[in-house]
Amino acid sequence: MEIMKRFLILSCILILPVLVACNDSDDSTSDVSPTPVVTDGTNGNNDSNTDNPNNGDINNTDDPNVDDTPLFSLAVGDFVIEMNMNVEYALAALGEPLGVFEAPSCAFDGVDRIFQYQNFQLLTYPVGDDDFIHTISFRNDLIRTTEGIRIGNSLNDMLEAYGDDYEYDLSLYRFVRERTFIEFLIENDIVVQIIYGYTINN
Amino acid sequence: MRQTKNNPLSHLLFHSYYIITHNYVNIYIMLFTSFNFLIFLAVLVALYAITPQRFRWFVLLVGSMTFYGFAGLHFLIYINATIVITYFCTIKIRHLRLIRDVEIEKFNDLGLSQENIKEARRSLRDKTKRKAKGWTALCLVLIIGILAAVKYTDFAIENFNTILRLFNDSQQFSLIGIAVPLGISFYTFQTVGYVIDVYREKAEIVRNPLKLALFTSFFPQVIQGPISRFENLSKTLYSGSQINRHGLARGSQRILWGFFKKLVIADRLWPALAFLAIHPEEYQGIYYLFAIALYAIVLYCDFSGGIDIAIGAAELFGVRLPENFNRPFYSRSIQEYWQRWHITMYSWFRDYVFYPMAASKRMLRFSKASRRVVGNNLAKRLPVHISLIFVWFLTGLWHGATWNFIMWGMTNGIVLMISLELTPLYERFNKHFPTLTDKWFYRSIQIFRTFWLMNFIRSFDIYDGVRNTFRMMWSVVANFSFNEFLTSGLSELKLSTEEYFSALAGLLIVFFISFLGRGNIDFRDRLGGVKWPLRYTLTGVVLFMTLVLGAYGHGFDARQFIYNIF
Amino acid sequence: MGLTRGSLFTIYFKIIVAVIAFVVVFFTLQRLLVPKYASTAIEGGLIREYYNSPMNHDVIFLGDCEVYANFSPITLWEEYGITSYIRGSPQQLIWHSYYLLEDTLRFAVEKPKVVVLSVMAMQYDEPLYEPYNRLTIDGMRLSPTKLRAIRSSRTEGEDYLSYILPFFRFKDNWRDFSSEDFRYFFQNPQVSISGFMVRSDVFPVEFIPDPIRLPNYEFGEKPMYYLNKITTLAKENDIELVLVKAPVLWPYWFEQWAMQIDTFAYNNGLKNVDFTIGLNNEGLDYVGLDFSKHTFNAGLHLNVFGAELLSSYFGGILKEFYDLPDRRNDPVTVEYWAELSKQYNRLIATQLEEIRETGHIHTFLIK
Repeated sequence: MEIMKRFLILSCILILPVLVACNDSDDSTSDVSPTPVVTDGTNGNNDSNTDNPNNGDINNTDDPNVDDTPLFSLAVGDFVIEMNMNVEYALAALGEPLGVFEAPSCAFDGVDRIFQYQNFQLLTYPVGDDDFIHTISFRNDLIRTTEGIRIGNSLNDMLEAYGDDYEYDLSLYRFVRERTFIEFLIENDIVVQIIYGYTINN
Repeated sequence: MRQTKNNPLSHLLFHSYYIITHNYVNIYIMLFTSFNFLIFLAVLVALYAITPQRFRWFVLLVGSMTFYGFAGLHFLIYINATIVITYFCTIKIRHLRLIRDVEIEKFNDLGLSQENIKEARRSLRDKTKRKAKGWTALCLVLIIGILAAVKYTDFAIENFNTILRLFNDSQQFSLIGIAVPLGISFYTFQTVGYVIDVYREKAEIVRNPLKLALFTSFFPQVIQGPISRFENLSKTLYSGSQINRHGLARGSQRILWGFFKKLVIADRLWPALAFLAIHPEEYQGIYYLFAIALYAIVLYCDFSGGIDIAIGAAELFGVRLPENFNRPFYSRSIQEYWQRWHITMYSWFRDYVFYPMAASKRMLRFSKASRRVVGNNLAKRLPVHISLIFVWFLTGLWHGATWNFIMWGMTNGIVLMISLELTPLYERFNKHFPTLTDKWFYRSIQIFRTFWLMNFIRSFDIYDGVRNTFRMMWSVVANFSFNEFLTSGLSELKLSTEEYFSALAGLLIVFFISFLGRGNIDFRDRLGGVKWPLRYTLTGVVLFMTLVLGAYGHGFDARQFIYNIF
Repeated sequence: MGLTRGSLFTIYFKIIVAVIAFVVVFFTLQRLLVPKYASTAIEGGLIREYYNSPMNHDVIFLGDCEVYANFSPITLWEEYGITSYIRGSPQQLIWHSYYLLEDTLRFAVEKPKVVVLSVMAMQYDEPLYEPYNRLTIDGMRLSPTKLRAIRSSRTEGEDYLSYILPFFRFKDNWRDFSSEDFRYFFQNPQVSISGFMVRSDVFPVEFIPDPIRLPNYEFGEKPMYYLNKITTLAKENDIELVLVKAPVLWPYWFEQWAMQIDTFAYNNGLKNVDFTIGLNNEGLDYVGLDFSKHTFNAGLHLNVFGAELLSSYFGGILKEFYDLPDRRNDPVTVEYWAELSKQYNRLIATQLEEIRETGHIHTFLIK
């Protein structure tokens, strides 16, 4: 009887760990809070009170703790489009776009938008009622990056302007500065696409 | 610790959270409030139950080492080093004493006179004691040395660098960034207590190294206490008492209670607290008051919740751990507070540092010498004062390797000292108004005063930098922000109204339970007297409140217990 | 503490009572907390509805909103007598589709003869977003298939327990308790008609932006692996597999992708129906789609009228190339589909009325 009891207990408990053991590192470092206040020094994007959801932490060049290299941003005429900026500012400065496209996903609210201008597109993501720019895509060679590169420039021109601290994958050259980045798609040693990007913390 | 400067949160006691998210320690800790831990307990209980009595303690040891190993296999090296060193030194002491006892026996056979025998015995005892002292000291130096090296090296380097900078020296030493093993402060101190008790011949010397290993690494308490004394713990730790309904029921209840406090209250309110902590410039005055009150609640629920789980887990196996909290917010003075909050730590420092220090010959000599300078009265109290300050300096340092913690410790010490000095004044006051002191009104004021006093002292834990903390205190008068609070108030603090209410509901239950526990009766005993349907229902309510209202699961992070890195 | 027979019985009795009480309360709470998908994200109700149908359809559609918004089973029935069910769900990925097929084969009363797979999701290599996993997987009945689906779809931090006991995933819904949770306690709302979601509103195409070129158009290993598995599973069960790409203007369907699908279809003897051929901002000529009136979100999906046209055309293809019985001579089937047609037409009428009066649709549920 005693042995039976022990055997029963043993077999019961052996089943239990299987359920939870099939766990994908749930208690470890990967469980990052959606409330970004805690994850790192820069504040997250969910604060819709401010213009720049980063609370100016990254883009504030007055902050002595920030690395001196400026983050990627695009100058269009007099106006500088900063990554993760509220698109309202860009719209105010650049005027009405040629077209605004809403790209909803299958089920949820929260619409990504594409603002298409003559020479470039602004892609945004929503936070609360505002939209913030996460991508700028060049449409033609009439516009150049802040560092002077256009679509049609050679690979060498591009590397000269940006250096060799890049990540390379499948003909895509990516230069990263904190959460901003710029990508060049190369075909036959020619730049065929230029994209400014911002890594959203999600 | 690395990179503490730029992140105010590093000064929060929730280091471990910061640490984990920054891969500082890439660990898969088995959190107390995790499903994994419950499964672990269930498995261990079952294994324990089917093991014959003689070997049950061994099952606990295996469980403890497994538990600890989850934090990182390499950390096992540190704890085992401590165990090995302690074992080696205490066995040496045992041998010395055995030899001594044998020798003393031999004296009787030598046919010497009574006096000579006494003399010989005394001298042998003294010699043995001196040698034992040597081994004790060696042991302490080594195991505290491990703790110091691992935990305080970077702090020392940082301070050294600061000093260098004063001399405009461009040479700066880089920080080493050692990963701090889980619970090293706790298990080291528990072991130190054991070694000192061995030296004082208060504790039996453990001959089985594995049994010593169990004492040091016993999983419910290794991470955050309570710190046990060997003479107490050994009574139940090795007895291998069989699992029984009573232990299972009470243990589970206690564990549930710990989960409840931690998940429903502490983890739920934590985002608001963290938010206030990182935005000291924007949230001052009344927000500061709110923050420190919130911190009291969160810290209490988190810490005491963890202790409840620890005690409950031990209770499952029939092992008795000491209480660490005794309704601390009912304290009427800071002295009483420290006998109700983190009880085992306080008594540890008192018994192993304060008393030895204050009563030591050197201190008495110093006190005598100082009579000329400060007068008789003060000279008598000087040992107490000096020891007090030193002990609290150590306490602060033990909590963390930052000046904030040291400041916190010293503040506690100074306030305690002041409180001691004012005792005659209080006594005179009580004599004049003898009936007043019994009135609940007066007692409420005392409780209120103590609550807020401790809140203010604790603010060093929250804000980055000692200076900032003082600034926040000052802001209560300088920038009260009452209007702001009235209008936007709590809504900006990352918690919804429902969440506040759910935490509040939890708090009310905690308050009610603590109320039931007046007069030092364990509320579970009171609960035991209630008819079983009601009892089950109450337990069920707490259980479901924890399951539904608890801040865990999708969207929540693994919030570590606050004291996990010690 | 001597245990008498009486006290032992009391103990067992107490334990049993406690356990039963716990289970009852737990599952009641779980039912209350689980989202009903009656007002928000109603697409979440799609997968579970399949089990309420007779599960004897000849044609099964698999895919995301490109199938459940663009193909009308009512049209297939009325014009061709084809019985079909759209096992679609929001952002359904290829591996979801595979497991849904497996699930269908496991539970269906009669196996389908043709499976139509939307290839849109071939561009997605990784699980995207946990809520989408839930919208697809939660509705599945618990079975080894579901467990395998969880294993291959889960994102970081997801575990089996929260799928088997959704209580642990949705417990925070206590914050959003509404009358909905009580109203639909015993029965879920019905959100689709044979898996199709009806939209009667019109929102013409305005502007479609340039697509952003990709560095690499090759489909990833995971979607290819599961596409192969679907193909194999279909073959093993004597089911004809048809690959389809719906006529929508966005997300942009690159030529390089279309070519890969074509090649795959050719190599595996499958039919590939690519409705993006000839597609432009005006519509699709040979189907008769006009994007000034046949879309409800500016070219991203067809509305019910567009879906009917597309289904009419597509049904013709199915009829021509596959041996699908005309079930209009079976009285039981006729009765069932008559009821569905009634629901369908009633919903369209209601929606059109709402558009006339308020400019927007308010009713999306059938029941």
